Amino acid sequence: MTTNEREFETLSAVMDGEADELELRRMLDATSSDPELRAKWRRQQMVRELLKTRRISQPDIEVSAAVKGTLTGGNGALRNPLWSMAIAASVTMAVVLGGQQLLLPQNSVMQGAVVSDVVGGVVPVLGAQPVQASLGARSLPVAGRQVDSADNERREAAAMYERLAQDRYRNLGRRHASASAQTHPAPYISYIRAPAASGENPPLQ
Amino acid sequence: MSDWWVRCLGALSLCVVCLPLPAQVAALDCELTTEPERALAKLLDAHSAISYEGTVLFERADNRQFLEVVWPSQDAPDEHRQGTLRRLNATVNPLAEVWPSAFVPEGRVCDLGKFYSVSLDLSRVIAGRLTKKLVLRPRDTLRLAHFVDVDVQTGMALAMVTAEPGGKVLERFEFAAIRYRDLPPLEVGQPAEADGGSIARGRGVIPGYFVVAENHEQGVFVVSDGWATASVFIEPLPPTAPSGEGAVIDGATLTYTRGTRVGNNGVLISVLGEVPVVTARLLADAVRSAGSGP
Repeated sequence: MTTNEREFETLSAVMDGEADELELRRMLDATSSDPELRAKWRRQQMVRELLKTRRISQPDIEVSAAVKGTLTGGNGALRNPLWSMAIAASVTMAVVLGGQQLLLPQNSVMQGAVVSDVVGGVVPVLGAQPVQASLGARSLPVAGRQVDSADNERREAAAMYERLAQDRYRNLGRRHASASAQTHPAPYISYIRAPAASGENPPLQ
Repeated sequence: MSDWWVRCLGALSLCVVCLPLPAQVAALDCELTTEPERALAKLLDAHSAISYEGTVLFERADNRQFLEVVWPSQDAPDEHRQGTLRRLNATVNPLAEVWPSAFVPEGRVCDLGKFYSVSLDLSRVIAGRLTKKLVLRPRDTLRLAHFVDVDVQTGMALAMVTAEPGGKVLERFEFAAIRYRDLPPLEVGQPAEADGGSIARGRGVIPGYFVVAENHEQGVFVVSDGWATASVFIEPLPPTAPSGEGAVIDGATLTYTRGTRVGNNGVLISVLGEVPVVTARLLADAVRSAGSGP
């Protein structure tokens, strides 16, 4: 295949919309320096339009120049998938942050003293209130929702009783094992289940 | 323990909530007509007829243990027959821990049949022995399910799975190897006679569970349905502690705690047992001041 034949084939691919971006750019460079190729492109363009619409309109507009202009102009960057992602992410951020601003009550937006006293770094985020994470601290009020102190007390009591259950299991487990072994058909299993013996209470008499 | 608290514990009791339930059932009021019933009876009585030593694998969520189990131990520090176990992957040269023989009251197999659906399932070989799977499915929501691979010849439990009624496995154990020996004739039957006085089926507390041991001074009650056991401990609650409840589960063992007021006193009730949470709650409910009635 000669160089010309290859170029014509590439040109056909461009006309059919099957060429990739690199082939398209190479073809545009080639047409700018090769009048024969440019003439062929124009002829093919006219034939296609004639077949499609049965008439030829604006035969003086050179399509290749318009295409090249699009590629070299600002719009070309939009074709890069990475740029597309970045723009999509920016739009998402704008929607989320804008939404946060809209959802926040006016008075809470104006408050600047919601940062904890505890020393530490705070990362400012555009459109969001600064919040500092700290172990053991109560959660800050979320927009539109008041923290129920009764809920907190119930949660704290439940956590306390769970720790207490863990403690009673460790301390009373061996006593339960000695009682459980009396009725289980595999008595040793009761002792295997029990936590390791350490500072245990005497078995139930 | 202060005098006040001893008096307080004396005033508390695990009240009789259940009505004349099978608590007063006479010995062996059922006939063992089916093969599953006979297999269950043989399983419950196995320790009184055989001697063995073997290696057991025990597994639950975050725990796997290999154990050497011996029954009865030749050097057990007690005049009664006792078994020993050694945790092989815990320490170097692990010490022997002593465990007692189970007591099998007459009629227990009949009681179990009332609260569990008993059936036999597929056979399989475990530790070189032929077994049949004995399945105990709870008839209510107050107990767990048990799947026991029983040695066809000796009745020994060679493997067991304990599961929630929904089928979720909580724990399992299985013999990797077992070697049987004959029991000296004189020892046969001795443990039941020796222990029989300390463990006896008492009053019913909640459906299917009977008091089998109680110590009012220490504030300890033990209930059992003939298979599962729950221990109820009653202690003083610190004055500043709020009322509430909590629970943790380790394998099949549940530990449930509840802080409450009984009369003018704060009481911490702890229930430890191989039982569902609903059973532990009911048992905690059953703890009342002796004067308040059921």
